[in-house]
Amino acid sequence: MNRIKIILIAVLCIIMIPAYAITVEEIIAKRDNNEYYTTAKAKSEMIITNGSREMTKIMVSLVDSNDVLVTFENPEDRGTKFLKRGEDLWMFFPDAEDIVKISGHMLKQGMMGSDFSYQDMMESDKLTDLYDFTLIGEEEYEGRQCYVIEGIAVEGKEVSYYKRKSWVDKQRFIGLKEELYAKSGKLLKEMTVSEVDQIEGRWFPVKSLMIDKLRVNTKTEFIINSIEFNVQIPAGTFTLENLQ
Amino acid sequence: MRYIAAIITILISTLLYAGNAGGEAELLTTATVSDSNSIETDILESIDVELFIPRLWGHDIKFEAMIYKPVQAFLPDEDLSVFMKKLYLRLRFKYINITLGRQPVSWSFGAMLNPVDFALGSVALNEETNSKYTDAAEIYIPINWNSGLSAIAAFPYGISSEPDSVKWGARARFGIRGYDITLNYVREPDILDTAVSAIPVNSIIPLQRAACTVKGDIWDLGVYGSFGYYFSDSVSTVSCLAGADYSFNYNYDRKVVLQAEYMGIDMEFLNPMLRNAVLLMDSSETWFNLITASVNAGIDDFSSFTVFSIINANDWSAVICPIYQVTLPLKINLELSGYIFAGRENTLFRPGPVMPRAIGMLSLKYKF
Repeated sequence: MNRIKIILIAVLCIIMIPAYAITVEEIIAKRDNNEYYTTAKAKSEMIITNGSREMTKIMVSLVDSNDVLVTFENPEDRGTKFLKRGEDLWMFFPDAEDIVKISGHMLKQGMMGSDFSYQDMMESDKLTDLYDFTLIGEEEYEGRQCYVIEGIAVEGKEVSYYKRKSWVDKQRFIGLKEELYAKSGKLLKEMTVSEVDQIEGRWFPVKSLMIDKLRVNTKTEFIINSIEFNVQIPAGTFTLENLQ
Repeated sequence: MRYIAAIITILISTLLYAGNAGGEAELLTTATVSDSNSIETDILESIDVELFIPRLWGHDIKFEAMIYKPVQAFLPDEDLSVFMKKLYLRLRFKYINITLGRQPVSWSFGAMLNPVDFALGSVALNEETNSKYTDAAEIYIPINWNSGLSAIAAFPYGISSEPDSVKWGARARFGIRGYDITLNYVREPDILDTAVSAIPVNSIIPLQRAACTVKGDIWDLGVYGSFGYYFSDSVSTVSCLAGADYSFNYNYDRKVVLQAEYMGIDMEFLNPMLRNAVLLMDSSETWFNLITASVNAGIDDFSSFTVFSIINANDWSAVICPIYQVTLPLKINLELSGYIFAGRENTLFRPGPVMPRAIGMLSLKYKF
């Protein structure tokens, strides 16, 4: 009887161990499966709030691997376009109908006054290509069980934040909260996801909030009104000619 | 003119109501401090209206006009004026685009001063002027995603079959190893009839110019430059410009953008008397040097402070311009700026009683 018990316990252990042994690479890979896309078309808005003042940016974005085209539709920026191809950023000024190459250092700056940098908005690389991740624990966040993972920037990679700590939903494999840190260890920004949606078979954050931890009373809300994945993007979309 | 402005106002109001139009209303107040310290003020009101016409079969139609009240000191009898900014048809085909009508022509490369633009002086210190809007026919031939050829025939003095009244331009743009490079050519109209133009271009600069511009990055520094060769049958001269820009975050999230450039131009082609009278250069000097610098600091998401200056290295006179910009509630943009002219007497930016000591401006803008 004791021998049977031992064998049963051993078999149970063998069956159960893989369920608890998920690696951080697997977590990130499953998250990338949800949040990373090759091509997409999206209509979104950024609401920048500082005290009683509010500014809304409405954008239409087309993404194809490393190429991104963003067109602004709110009255203050109507007609302004950004084109990112690889590491090059171009801007179309609608009044003069001029196209100017934007210096590389501007990629790290806030896009159109928001808390999201050009790199944040137009970064199309997988997280696993940009960061080395470690699983540091599990926590509950907003009623959801989450893996807590920490990523340190890969040497030589151009990223907006040196370190990021993420809470990844264990069931849906989507990031629900992120803390973004400078190399000094200072917490710069905190992003929280308030709404997710299942779109074309994947979980995707459709409403998120970025709070600047260095300033008081300022935040940027990012809302995706519509998004389609794996769309056919016409040839000639990511060209200077199409910016005009 | 009043009736035209009224018709346009009615048309635009209808389209605004339908959501197919937008634009910008501006109220600009200026205060000019003269050399004798007296102050004169003026108010300029303007409304810029644009129609948003969807692409028709892949082609574009654009309309944008500015309705404004002219400076009353100069045109006291004019109530309203209309300036047509854009009224063109752009035909897009597989291998060529053709644009016909009133359109902006601007060849910027990120510099604060552009000595090789299609319309000289159309962009200065990141401020655009109306001289870039012209009646023209342009063809554009794309080569690849960041390269193309364009040719333009413009009619700054009205549509005319006289070849000498046409302004010609050509531009080749291409990218090499991350650098944006352009080669340009412009031939100004050869207008000798002062009834057409009070100041014929060919009395100020040679009729033709060829130029090269480049923009790119060296590590974290944005760099740009231009070289221009101006020539006509009897004279020739050159200009060169080199600049750089850099940005960083102060205290992690306060954005600061720095930009500086040097522009030099050989003025030997100019009559020495004109050189002395207009540029206040010594008769022995021929090379004209300008240094321009700008610092922009973000205060928060809704406001920023900028200081830029232009220094004439020939006589060390300067114009200094501080600008404070803030977005108020109701999305009204307020800009408080000034031009301070500094230097010894009889220098370029302090030529004497005719030029003011300083100009202050308050602008309120609303985009709709």
